[in-house]
Amino acid sequence: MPAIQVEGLSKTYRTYKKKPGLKGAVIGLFKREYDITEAAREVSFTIEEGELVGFLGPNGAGKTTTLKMLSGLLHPTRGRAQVLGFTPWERKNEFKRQFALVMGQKNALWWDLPAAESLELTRVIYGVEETLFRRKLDELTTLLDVRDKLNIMVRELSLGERMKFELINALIYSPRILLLDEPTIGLDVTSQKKVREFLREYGRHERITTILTSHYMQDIQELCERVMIIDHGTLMYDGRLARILDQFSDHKIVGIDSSLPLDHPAFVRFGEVLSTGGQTLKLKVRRERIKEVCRELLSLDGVEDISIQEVPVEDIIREVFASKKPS
Amino acid sequence: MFPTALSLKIFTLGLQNTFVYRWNFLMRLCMSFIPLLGLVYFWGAVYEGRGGVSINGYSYGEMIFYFLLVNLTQALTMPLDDEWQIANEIRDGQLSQHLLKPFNYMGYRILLFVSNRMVYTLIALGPTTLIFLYFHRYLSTPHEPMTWLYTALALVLTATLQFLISYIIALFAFWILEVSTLVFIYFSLEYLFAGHLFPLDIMPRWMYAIIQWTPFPYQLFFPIAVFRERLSPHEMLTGFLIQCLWIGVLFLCARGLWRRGLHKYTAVGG
Repeated sequence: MPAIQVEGLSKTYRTYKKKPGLKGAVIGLFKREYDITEAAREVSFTIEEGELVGFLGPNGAGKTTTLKMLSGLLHPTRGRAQVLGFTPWERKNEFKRQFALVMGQKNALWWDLPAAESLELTRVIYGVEETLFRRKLDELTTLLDVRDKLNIMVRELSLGERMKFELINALIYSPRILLLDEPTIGLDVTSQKKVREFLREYGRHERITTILTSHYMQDIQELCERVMIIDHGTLMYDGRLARILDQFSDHKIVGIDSSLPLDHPAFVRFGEVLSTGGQTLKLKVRRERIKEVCRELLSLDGVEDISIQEVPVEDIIREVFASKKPS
Repeated sequence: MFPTALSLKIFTLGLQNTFVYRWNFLMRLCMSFIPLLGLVYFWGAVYEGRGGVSINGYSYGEMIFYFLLVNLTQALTMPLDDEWQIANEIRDGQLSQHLLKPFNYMGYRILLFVSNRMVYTLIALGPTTLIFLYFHRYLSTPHEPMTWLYTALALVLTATLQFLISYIIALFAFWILEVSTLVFIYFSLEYLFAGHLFPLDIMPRWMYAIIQWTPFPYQLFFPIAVFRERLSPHEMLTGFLIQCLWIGVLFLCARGLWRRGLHKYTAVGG
């Protein structure tokens, strides 16, 4: 049985549309107009036990809505979902014991107390046996490098340290499902890297079924083999990240370093010129022409070095959205 | 409702968390003595105007003792920040964190309320003792030893009632943005009919006969009346029954509101 099975999951919100100004407010008292927002439309997917899936999409695309439905915080308008055989929005305790939701912008720890206290509360709520708890706590705090921060008040921790404790708080009772909503948001680069490394190592080791949403493409690129892309509530792609890269990146980026000033119009015949900076230049070249273009470029006067890079995933995702915009 | 270990853990966390705010508590407590002194002077003037004649069985000294007991009962049973905290958790979506956990939110809030009251009472102990010592000549203890037991029971029920009312008001945050208006309206009524300003049994009998069916007297006046042995056994029994009845009704209300509120919360997302 797959760990997560979703079929035709839809969620529509009715939001009150207020006309501008005071007059609008008065009219609104008597006659209300509503907007129907479809936060999720017929979303279907299956995730097997132990998979780590990236969930991508612009703001307001329906990522958080879907995660909230999977964690039982939101009732869908239509559709079914089975998580470990449970219907999430029935909110059974046996279900709650087996999954965790970590939201980067929400705080589950007691603000005025050391993290150790919140963790201890979690231990008791989830009935984790004491020695197992000690061992796990040791392991997790070591991996995330926050062992010496356990007894500091949560409000005095840095954002990165707090996020690490949020993760520990979610993992200490060994959930089988982990839903992560922007776990690296707002973190500095080092903390981001640490959290990313941790998720990769720990998730793989423990085989926790994980869905991860993130604004940082690097998170997704480094952690997820499989991605789901959602926009306007519709699932637009579900498959291997590598495949989408192939499918949509029929281009590569070629960078040129030259000892002479480069003449911009002269390069248009190779491909789209992305940027110029006197003696450097960036070109977007079709994949099949790469060899030929490189050869020609190197034969030009003054060209000293060329580099070939993949198109950044951000750009590819943007292209996916641009090419498949639903009406 | 909860396993003992969990109850204890939540309770001790509540204690620690509340203790962080001990100075706020101490300040609030000291401020609460200002209205008390106001009432002492006010009633002093009233009794002086009457030439010291007692009012419906309350001598000046008994009146002062009544207000001291009002302060004490409030410290023991009145929720302080609970309704704001609950309303805020609902409004800013923090409630989601609790919904994800395999536990009962109301039980959790009750434990926090109890620990909150414990800390407050502990902090109130010093200043209250001083005030009581100052007015020591007006103090008296019950004649019947059993009265202590009845008082304790009445106080527990009062605290339960108080919690339920705060909890219900807070749950309106599921539907309205700002529960402060509700708190204000309810508190105005409570202020008058619960016995904050005067002992309810100096009111005309017909008026008290009506008010005794509302929840207000059981939020403050009733345990004091029990302690002061101002009720006949029959009146006391009726009082306990009405108090329990209100607790039952409000508990059902709270459960119903919670269900409907949660339904709405999970329909639009927190």
